[in-house]
Amino acid sequence: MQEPSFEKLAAAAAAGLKADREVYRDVTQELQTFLEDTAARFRREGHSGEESITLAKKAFGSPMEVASELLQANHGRLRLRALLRLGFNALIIPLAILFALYVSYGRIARMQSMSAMYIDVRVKLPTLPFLGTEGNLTREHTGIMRQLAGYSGNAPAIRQYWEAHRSEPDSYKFYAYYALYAAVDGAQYEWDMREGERIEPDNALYNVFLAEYYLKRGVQAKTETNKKDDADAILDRRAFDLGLVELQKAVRKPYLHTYQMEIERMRLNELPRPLLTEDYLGRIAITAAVLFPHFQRYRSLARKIPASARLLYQEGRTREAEAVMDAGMPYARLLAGDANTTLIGGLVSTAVAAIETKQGADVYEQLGERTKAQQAQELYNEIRAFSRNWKASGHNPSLKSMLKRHGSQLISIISPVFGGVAPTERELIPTRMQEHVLSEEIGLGGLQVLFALLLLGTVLQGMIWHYRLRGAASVPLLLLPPAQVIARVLWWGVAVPLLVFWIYSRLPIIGGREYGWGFLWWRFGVELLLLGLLLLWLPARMINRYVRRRCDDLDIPMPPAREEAAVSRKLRGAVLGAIVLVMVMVLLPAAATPLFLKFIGVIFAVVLVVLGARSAAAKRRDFGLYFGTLARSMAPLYAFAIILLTLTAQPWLLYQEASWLRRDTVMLGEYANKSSEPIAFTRLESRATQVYTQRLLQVLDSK
Amino acid sequence: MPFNTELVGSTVELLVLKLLAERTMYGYEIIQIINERTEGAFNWKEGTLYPVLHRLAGQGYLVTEWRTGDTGKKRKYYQLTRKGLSHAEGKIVEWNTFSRSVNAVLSQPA
Repeated sequence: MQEPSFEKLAAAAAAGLKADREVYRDVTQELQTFLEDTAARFRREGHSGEESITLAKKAFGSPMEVASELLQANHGRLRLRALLRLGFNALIIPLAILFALYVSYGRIARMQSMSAMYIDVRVKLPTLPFLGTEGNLTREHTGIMRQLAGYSGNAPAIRQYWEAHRSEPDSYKFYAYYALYAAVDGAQYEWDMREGERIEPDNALYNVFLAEYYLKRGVQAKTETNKKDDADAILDRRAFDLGLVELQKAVRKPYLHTYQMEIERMRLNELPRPLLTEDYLGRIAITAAVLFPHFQRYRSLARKIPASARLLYQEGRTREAEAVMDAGMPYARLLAGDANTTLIGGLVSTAVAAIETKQGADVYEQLGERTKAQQAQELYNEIRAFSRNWKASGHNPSLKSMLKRHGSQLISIISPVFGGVAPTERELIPTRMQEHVLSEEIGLGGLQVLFALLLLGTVLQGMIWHYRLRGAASVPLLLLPPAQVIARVLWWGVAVPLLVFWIYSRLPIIGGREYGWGFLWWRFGVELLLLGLLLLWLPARMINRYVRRRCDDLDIPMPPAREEAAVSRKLRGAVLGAIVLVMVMVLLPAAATPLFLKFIGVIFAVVLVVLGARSAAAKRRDFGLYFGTLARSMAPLYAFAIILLTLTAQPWLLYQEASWLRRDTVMLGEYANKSSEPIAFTRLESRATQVYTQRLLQVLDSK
Repeated sequence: MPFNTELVGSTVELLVLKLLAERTMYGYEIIQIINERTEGAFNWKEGTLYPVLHRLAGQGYLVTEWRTGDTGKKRKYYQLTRKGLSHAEGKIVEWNTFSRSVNAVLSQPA
């Protein structure tokens, strides 16, 4: 059985060896065994148990003397082991700095790529493990992405794609897509549209385009110009007649389809699976970069229809005028039928319907068709009322308030145009949490940069003290905290606060995660600030206490608390200056501050810390051993903290971000059904567009 | 009769090496044998023995091993290395020469 007082005595005798846990344990155990053997001998000689213990302790001698002798005897061994530890730290420190630079570079690169999301696919996202961005797209991926990119200059490539796939059953869609971007120029264009009509006879798209093409050349509508004196005029009789023929052909067809969003889905499906926010934003940006040249042509044709009817009426061709005006609403309906993907398509259809009904009412009035005129006017009023209601529903104060409180910032910005089509509170959770996780990632990245700066500062401070105390440089080695102490400080000073924060922030009601970041940003900011301060203060305090205790054990002079506080103030000033500089650099807009300037800012911050450290080192040389040891003890702590955060918290947050994004059914998440769900810029827009089009068609069909 | 501390201290290393040259021993055992053979004249304590043992181990003259004895108790045993053995032999020769020389002087009548 172990005698407690022997343990204490052995511990006191081996106190000088505490810097090396292994040596310390070995020696205390050996001394304890010796004391027990001595006590056993006294017992054999006839002494009582208690007397034997007292005699054994007496025979042991002064623990202080033993401690001093043992420290001297083991000095070389301890020094060798401490040097090995220092060597290990010397490897860990650059590794930690690399990690910190890697994470902060990745963070800045991610923020830049997010803010530059008007991208086409040529924008290269950073390819960094952990950060999981999709990186540069392969040639195979960019093939379809580029070839089917929706802009006018790309029409030859789109046609080439159609030609290469013309034997496939869906090739007519590629041709319709080509028709959107084909150069509207002369005989080739007419031929192209005729070819489209031949490929897909039921699709009114080609006739609409031809009607617009001819009427643009054949008619000038007074409503198209800003001059009040301008009147409707026929510019080219043949084109005028051809245009009206095509218009009538178009409105007799069952549907109009551009297939634009289907092709867009095809392009997006070529991309690697999205993982992080920028991947999803990239998809939105790619979709947003698609041009809709046909919308302008739809509106142009809409104005030509009443103008053409008025011109025919002026020529006394009232029947033909009425027939042309009668084509107005079916034309608007055709457009509305194809506007079920993006809201902008629905809005264009509404504008076309408004033109046809408003001007149509006047034309019918002129033609003496009172009933039709009244119907057109009533329909116009209903369309206006529908638009007003849609707009008003989007600005509903209670809805706006709910979205602001429980949604994300992005959803609060875009939701007013969605006419009150809003997600439920439950549906808002992923998009809201994704924003929270992003803010935590930014906070953590900032903390790692801060740790890296502190690490550099402490390394430099340690080196300065080492240089100033050349002769006594070996003593601090014995003071350096062993791995167990570093592990304990990392656990209690870094990991536990982070775990507590994580649990607290996820607690219902208390954590506040049922509110959007934009609504309670100040609270989350304060929380992150407090956590950051705690993570800076607590481990430093724990290490400081350890070093003070060790210095006390080895009779190394330490400054009074006031003096130490003065040195700490200088260091804190330098570190705070560095933080402000880094924050300013990070927060400056990416466009105004290129990446290299940000890194220059970080280097300035490092210089600031160095100056602070030098200034602190200039203080009392008597306590150099203490300050040097403190600095050298902090360095491995910060290094391990950076590595710990990079290997645990950072991947965990990235995993959380990816996980919330996957669950998002409102804003950024992928479409549940990649082949059939209508796509828009966001899933909420897709949902709103469905509702909008359905209601618009109900209005149009009501008369 | 209590001896001069420096005189005792200068012989500790030699005696430890001599005993360990005989066989492997643990710390308490070394003190016991010394006390027996010197009939308690030296009265070594831990502070006398262990720093010497640790220094010799640090210099590579000794190796250590934790072993469980017959009583089931774990003890740290010290054993001379080859280098330690030759060092011990050298020290013994040195001491014999030294003591013979000292005795030769002391044996002459005053």
